[in-house]
Amino acid sequence: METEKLQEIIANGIEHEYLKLNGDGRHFDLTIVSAAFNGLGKIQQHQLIYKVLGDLMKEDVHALNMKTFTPEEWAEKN
Amino acid sequence: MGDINAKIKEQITTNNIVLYMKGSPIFPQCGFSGRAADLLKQCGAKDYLSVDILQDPEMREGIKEFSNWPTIPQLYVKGEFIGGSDIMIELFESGKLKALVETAL
Repeated sequence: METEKLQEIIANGIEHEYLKLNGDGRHFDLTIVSAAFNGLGKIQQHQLIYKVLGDLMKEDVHALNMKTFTPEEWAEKN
Repeated sequence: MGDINAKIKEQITTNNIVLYMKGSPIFPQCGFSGRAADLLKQCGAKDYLSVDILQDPEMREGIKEFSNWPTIPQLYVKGEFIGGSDIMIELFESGKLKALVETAL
């Protein structure tokens, strides 16, 4: 799956302040900042993204390395 | 599907540390699984239960449904789902993984 296409799916699937996706067609690295993560643990944050991707995780996306941040965490980091 | 859930429950309750992975800690069959096993080793985990989902197709799908997590590897400590390789890396870098593993040795 092309990176641009996957980026578009994620971007349309979740409201976000920052989104960066790199990939080689099967393995992807995602950095995403969203207020939807507020109050959620890491696992729940990642599950939000997996819900957006749904069945894509079965075939198209072999591996997705995620770094999820709330706006607050992101501000602290930068 | 019932018996797979029962099998998983039994594994994660009778073993303090369980890593569902592709291959084994010594012969991982996927980079992410290998990384997860390596992190556990660095945290001092020695004789934990590793489950090679490549040997058990029903387990391979069952574990994803059990945890509502679509990828492998998956780490469980004291019956609780901790995460996949990216969360393990994050926890390792902050020292939390080592602290967690040490409570389960």
